[in-house]
Amino acid sequence: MKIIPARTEVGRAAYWHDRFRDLKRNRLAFLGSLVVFAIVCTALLAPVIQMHDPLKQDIAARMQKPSLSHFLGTDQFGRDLWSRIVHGARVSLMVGILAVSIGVFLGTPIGAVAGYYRGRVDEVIMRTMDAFLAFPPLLLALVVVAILGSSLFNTMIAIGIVYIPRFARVIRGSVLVEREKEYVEASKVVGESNASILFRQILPNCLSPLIVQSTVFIAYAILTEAMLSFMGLGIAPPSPSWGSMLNEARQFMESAPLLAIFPGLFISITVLGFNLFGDGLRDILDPRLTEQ
Amino acid sequence: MNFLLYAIKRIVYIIPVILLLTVIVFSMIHLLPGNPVDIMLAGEGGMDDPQTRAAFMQELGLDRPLPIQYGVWLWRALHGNFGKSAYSQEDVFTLILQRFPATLLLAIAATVVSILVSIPAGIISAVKRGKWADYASMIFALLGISLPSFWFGILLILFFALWLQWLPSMGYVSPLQDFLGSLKYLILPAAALGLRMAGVLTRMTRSSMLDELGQDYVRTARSKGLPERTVIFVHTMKNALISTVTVVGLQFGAILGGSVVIEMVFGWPGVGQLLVESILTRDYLVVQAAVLMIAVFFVFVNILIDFLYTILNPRISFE
Repeated sequence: MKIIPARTEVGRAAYWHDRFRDLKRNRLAFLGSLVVFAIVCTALLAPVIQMHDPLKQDIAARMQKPSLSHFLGTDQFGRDLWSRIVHGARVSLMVGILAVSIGVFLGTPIGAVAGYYRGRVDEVIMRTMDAFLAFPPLLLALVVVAILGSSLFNTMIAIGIVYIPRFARVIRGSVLVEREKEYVEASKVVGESNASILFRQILPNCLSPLIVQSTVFIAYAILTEAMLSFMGLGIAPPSPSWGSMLNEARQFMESAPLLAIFPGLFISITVLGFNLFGDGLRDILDPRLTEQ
Repeated sequence: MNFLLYAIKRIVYIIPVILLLTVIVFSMIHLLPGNPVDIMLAGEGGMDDPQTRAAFMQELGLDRPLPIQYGVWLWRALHGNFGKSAYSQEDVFTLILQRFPATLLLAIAATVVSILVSIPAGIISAVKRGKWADYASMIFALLGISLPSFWFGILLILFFALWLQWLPSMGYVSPLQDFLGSLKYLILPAAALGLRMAGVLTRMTRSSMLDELGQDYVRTARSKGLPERTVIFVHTMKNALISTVTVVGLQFGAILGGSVVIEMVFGWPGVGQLLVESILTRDYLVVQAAVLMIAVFFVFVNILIDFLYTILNPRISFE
């Protein structure tokens, strides 16, 4: 049995050091983290690794097959597909990370307060969250986009709102467990305020499920953005979004199937990477496994 | 507590959730930037006519205080009166009811396809743990949850409709008109929509089978000399599938949401396609009604799954 004194700063540092070591040992998680790292690098280095301007049209070079000058070929406006895809990685990652951040920053305090105070506060908060959870995720995002209109910023807000109740539920569950532990009792005895106990003592110990869920939700957020853009309700053309590129490519499926294959392949690889990474993190950080 | 009391309690419990749902959907129109009347009349060209405006406001009760507006809207919604579509001038409820069977057919077909694929895959994976069949199932499951359904749909169209020309690329035939003909149109969209659920269910079935296979009763059954087939299919599977049933319910929401995009890929005339068209044409009464109906339907599916779960698992206490 391994006892992890994760209640103190030193204990927490040692805990995260051990988990990082576990991550390196877990082959699938490591593979996932490599894919995520590659996608992040692609997004960050997009202006460097692009072959052409992703928005520049060249009608003379339209619908070209992959070649040395156009690594993945060109689209119906003669735009370089590789350059559009690497810039699409920026859009996807930005939406994924920022949407999940909205979910974390709003969902965490909501769930924490519900779990810590319990009683009527918990009932009111969680029933409201249940109402939002009653919407299938994509449907809720569609509703928000219908209200706000479609744009990059609104897509992030729409997807972020979807994840607020999901994070609230995850954090509430963890806080419910933590609030019964001795260190919380001790903090109460020394007269620490409820806010301080909740946000400075309890929440740092709920980081593991938050990290695991965030990784998995980034994958879903990227998929949701792609779906919204595919339906013409997310990021509007000519901005290079993988979803809208797929939608445009549908018209040319017979003559240029690669236009539809490549953007989908990049969405799949990115989501797969985040899923593998998330799965690995769950194995490593799952408190039940740690306690065993 | 017996099952009937449990069922009543569960149904009473969802009333506040549904009421909150209606508040959210009702608020939609009022959260839109601009005046709701102008927005709803935008499609009719009646915006400039003060008489049309006044009549419309009175008809929908928009000239009254907000809580009363909500009450009037809810009362009408309960009677299936969601107003008229600004785009087609048709009754919104009728419009949705016409499209609902197609969506339901697609959602059920996708669920059936995913169950048919995932349960055998999950069982084989658990029984052959660590062998190539296990790895193959797990790779399938991982791909299932990672591939975007709409892209998978496009790939299916490319292979089976455009290249092999075995199945139609899009369209819909009602099974009541031509059952076999409708199947041809149903296979590809159902496979595309069911892929994600299949991935999730395969993982779930595998892990619950592995849990069950490690239990004492399985060891006892094996030590009694029962054939492995009986141990797996008679003893273990029944227990392992209980948790899979719950996941089917949870995933049904994803199927309903996912049907919106799959209907678009395959030109499937369901509620999802109507919803997207209505958002694009800013036909908000249709959006409101469609969203509310899908969400309420999803709530009831979950209740149904809860009931099924309690029936399948006699260890559950009705608390």
